[in-house]
Amino acid sequence: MEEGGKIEVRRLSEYLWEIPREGGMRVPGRVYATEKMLAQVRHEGGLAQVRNVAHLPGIVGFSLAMPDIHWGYGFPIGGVAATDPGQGGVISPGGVGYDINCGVRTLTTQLEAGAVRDKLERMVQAMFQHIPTGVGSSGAIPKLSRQTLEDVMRKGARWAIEQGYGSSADLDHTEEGGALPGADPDAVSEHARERGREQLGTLGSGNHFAEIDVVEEIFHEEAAAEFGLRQNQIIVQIHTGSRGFGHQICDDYLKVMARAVRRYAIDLPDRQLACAPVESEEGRQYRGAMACAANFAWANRQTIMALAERALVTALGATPRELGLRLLYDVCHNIAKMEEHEVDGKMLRLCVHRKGATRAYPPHGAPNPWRTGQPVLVPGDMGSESFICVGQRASLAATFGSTCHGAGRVMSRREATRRFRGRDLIGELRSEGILVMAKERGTVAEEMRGAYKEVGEVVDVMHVAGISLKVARVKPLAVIKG
Amino acid sequence: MVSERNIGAEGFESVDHTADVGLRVRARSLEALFLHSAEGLAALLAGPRAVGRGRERVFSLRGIDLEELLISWLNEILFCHETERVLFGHFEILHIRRVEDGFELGAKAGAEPYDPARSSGGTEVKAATYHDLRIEARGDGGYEVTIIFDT
Repeated sequence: MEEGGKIEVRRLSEYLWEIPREGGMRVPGRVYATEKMLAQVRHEGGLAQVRNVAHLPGIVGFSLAMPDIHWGYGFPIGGVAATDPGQGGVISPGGVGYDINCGVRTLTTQLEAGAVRDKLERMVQAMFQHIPTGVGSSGAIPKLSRQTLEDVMRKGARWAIEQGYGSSADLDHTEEGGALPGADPDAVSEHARERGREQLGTLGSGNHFAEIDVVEEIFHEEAAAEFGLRQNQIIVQIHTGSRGFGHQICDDYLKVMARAVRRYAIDLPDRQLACAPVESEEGRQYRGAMACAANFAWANRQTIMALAERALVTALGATPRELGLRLLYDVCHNIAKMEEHEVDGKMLRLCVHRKGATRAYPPHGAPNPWRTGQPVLVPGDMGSESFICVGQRASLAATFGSTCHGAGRVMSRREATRRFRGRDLIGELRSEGILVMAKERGTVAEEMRGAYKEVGEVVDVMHVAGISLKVARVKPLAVIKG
Repeated sequence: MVSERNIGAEGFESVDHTADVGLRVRARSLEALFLHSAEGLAALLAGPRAVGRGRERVFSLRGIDLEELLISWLNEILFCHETERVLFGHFEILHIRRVEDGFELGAKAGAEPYDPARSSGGTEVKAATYHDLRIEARGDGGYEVTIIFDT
């Protein structure tokens, strides 16, 4: 681990720090954080990674880090970097992550917390039964044929809708309409296809979850009204990504890019920043394969949303209309997208990498139908609060329209397992009114609060910065995990 | 979590990493380094349960350097584990040799079927990563590497 202690950092404001350009850095680094957060990330080497990302060819503006920053592979988690293909800008699989289009989907319901408190056990049992989770689980969707998997790669959420999971109205409430353009199945390896064929409609393990929450506090009345949020309302959140399909694509293209950096004579301080020019053959192929993975993830979340609805309808003995499950929004937080942004007075088409960061567009901007702004979904750690925020105009100039994505870990899984050993964590959470059903109990210790930063502090930084404002705080009532 | 085996000069042990799982591996030879790395990953995937001999599986892989060869080897184990629903044990490294465009690995392992629907205490691993990956020669003629797994 590289020491971050020697990296010079200048304070620009209460929550914004700059790593000045030096050496091979093409742009400065900028970190959104409190002083306490900065000390933590400096200690674990995240600042060095922000500095390293600034070496990428064609990077513009700043190498950015959100307040949930922590040490990742090449790019820090919470990293945002935009490159200009017109200046030989590159695309880097490490700037997206292994779990391509890991993201969150938030659903509102007609239910009030008081009306379901004595039914929660039944609801969470039903969700645990209906939604495949955990290590090596197979999906509600049977093994896909080659052609069908290619349809999923191209159509994304729309494929799931065509199979009867949800409705086409959901696409207006999904980033990119639930499918990135330019998906190229020919760029996807046989290994990736093998891993993807049986995993559609599965949640996965680690920090993935499905959750039943209650809205505890409203901060922004106008946005809450537009989003259909109200105090004491029951909502559902689903956090998952592209499963083994995306992981394999990332691994495949790290190898491709390791050869590309030699071919294009790209000098990098970290092997995991391996990349190729966006407009190169390798860059185009990765974009095509990444889009396939992103679309698989959207199909996955669309499917799981429908499975959650079936579970809850069954558990409550209600009709779908009575449940009133409605998609608020679906965001990705591991992705690279071609977006138009203004840089030095000029509109440029940039490749924006968000790795553990969320798009946070303002109202009336780019493809954005929202009056108050794009919903931003920020899950906390297990058993802790989550936030729903709204994108603001300030995000465009400051962070290429980006904000935080979640809590960010502060403790290794091993340390968490040690720290919480011997405690009946599921029992403790139950005594606080939070039901947890987990296929692998070891995951519960690893994912326990305390292993993560306080998500409230993370969203507060971006709120004070005016990049994304808090709309609502929600508290979990029940969690299912792999 | 991963069990540790005789780390001294030979074996593997878990190490801390904020987001994921790390494995430090030491061995007296390159072949043993690759062997213990595979054993460490297999232990992570299997959890506390013992793995029987199973059916023999042969591996043949290439990489542009030893680090890529190691990661390719581990990710191939992971791929087979996930797609064929097997747990691996009883590894044997047949050869690691230089070839025209890098290095080649030949290996064998026993693959035992398992039921993923049954809770195991195993860990779901997304991939073996290249993070800070360096196979280092030690002063005593042995080798050491720390591998970070995205989990």
